[in-house]
Amino acid sequence: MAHVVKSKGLLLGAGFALALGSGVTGPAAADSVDRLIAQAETYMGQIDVAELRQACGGKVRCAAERIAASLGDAARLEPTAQPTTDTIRWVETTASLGAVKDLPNQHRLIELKRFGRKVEPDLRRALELGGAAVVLDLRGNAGGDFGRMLRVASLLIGPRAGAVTLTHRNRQEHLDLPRVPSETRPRRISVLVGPGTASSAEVLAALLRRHAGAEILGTRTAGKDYLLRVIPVDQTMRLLIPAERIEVPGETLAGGLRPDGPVSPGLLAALSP
Amino acid sequence: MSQPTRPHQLYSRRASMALGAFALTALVGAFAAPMATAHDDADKYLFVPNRGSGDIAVIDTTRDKVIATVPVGQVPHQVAVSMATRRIVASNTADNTITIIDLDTWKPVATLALGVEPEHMQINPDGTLLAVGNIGAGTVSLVSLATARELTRVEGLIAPHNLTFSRDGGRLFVANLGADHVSVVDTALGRVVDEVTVSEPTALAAKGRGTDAEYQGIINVTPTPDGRLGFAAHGEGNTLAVIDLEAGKKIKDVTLGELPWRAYGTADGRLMIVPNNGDRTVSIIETESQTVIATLPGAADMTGVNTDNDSTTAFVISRGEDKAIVIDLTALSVVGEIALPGTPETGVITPDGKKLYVALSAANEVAVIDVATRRVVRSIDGVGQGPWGATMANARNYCH
Repeated sequence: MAHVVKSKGLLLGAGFALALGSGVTGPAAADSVDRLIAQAETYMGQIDVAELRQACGGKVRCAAERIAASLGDAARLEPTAQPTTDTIRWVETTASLGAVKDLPNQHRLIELKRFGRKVEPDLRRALELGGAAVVLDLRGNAGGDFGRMLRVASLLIGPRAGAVTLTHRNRQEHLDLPRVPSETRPRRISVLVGPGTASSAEVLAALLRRHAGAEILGTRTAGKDYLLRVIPVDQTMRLLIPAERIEVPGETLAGGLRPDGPVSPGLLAALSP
Repeated sequence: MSQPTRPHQLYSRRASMALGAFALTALVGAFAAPMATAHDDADKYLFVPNRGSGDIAVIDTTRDKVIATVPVGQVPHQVAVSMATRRIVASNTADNTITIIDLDTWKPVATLALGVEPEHMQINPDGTLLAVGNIGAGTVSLVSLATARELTRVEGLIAPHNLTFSRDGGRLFVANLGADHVSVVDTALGRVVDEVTVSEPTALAAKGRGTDAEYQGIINVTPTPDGRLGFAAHGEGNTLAVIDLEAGKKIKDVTLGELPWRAYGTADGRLMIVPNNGDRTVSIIETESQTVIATLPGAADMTGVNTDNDSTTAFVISRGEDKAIVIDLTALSVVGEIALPGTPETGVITPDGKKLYVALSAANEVAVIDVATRRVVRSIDGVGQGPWGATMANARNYCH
């Protein structure tokens, strides 16, 4: 294992190691390795720059590999998906919503598959189409952009102070649900979850239960309760560093969110295409 | 492909000055005495790259008629004009080339093979050096317009999007769409000499990959007219970084709406206008105080903003809703909409400030808007397939 981290320290919890250090970042980035180190140190503590430089010189990919190796399995160095010209200019966008349909008893099913860049206006439109009660299907939602998830939560709940706590390596941060325009908040929300519900989607389910009185139905969720920080390395690779533990006060995310009950056979039948 | 020559061999500041002097002589000559060329008054022409038909339409804006079509490569993305060297250039994204065209004959004079997906181009202030972002390769090509040769290829960028020269042309600020930083290229050395971080890394809570194919870092560094400050919106960070371009340092973060596109400056440098595509709002930022002074309703998929020469009106182009939103920049309010059926892409206001031309990609037309009355006065057809942008010499051009 590469010895990149200068001083290993307290773990935030089971699963991955984060190092304690001074947290002092260096001077303004002069090359890509300096930039990578400065960004990584914010989340993992002081890096032994001399050792990294000796091993890698100015090769940023090498530096990223050594940083990733020092963090264990929770860190990832992975290829970056290249955008297409049409993706960049909003000609094409991967949909965030799957099935949207009316169920019996004025329930409206909304399948939220991901937290894509159009999730907010798309979900707003789906909510405005009607239905006093919403069944939000998160069973296939593996999570995504955390900030966008908070906006989605606010769309359904409204603004809330300190709704989420992030535990960094040496401090805690309380996040609010932001103020998001919403004309139609459902009176009743049921959330469908399962082992395919992960990370941001689990947090959303927990927020809905805690702050909107939502009923969570299905089976236990994946139990991924930490944030990754995405650091672009070069044109083709990115480094994902486990950075903060996520908590929703009053809910337990570690080990997976426990549902309130199973999906009823009647609802299951209504969900089938 | 011809191998790029080492930068120090071909392009130094001294060489730049010499080329600049040459260009200035040519420019002065062009205006001091009539030249025996067909298109002396080149700033009356509108150039439209057509993605589908692989050509450039030349429109005479005094008659609003297509007067020539110049074949280029596949999927041309942008046109750049150099009055100093009397060249226009098309970036052919799909075949990894640029086509250099003589401004006087409208004939291609050279086709250069560059890196993967050359998209955005910027010409330095003296009009002699062309920078081309090869977005698929993470490189920027520096091309001499005088010799029509690639001087060097700068490495170490991450999906380079728009490019901005410093006022003296010595540095190039590269907006990395795939990252959180702006790269600073020394154009004489031909390499990245600094990186200015503008946003903290994205917070991802996902078991899988998240949304990285749609990751939107930095689209553009928009300078103030004096070249002192640069404004760089970071899409995923929902922030606008204010950069001291002389020092190469970020001096402030301004919080914007969700998923900001890029900043567009007014002619007087007083305001920056940023469309936020995530929450469909438009942020207006005062450059002196570097604060948001208004957040106005926007529309879907806003990828262009044109402001008039008086800096009193902004036209925000929404390709998602086929319209332009009209903003009164004095009252700081939305005062109307202009329907633009046919998927508006980007536009340009004529140097005299009277007309706004907007490429309509789905209609194969260019809409002509009277700036004073804020009405579409005609549509120009026969443009080509998939018109993607609009460029004029001596105008405030941009590309999406």
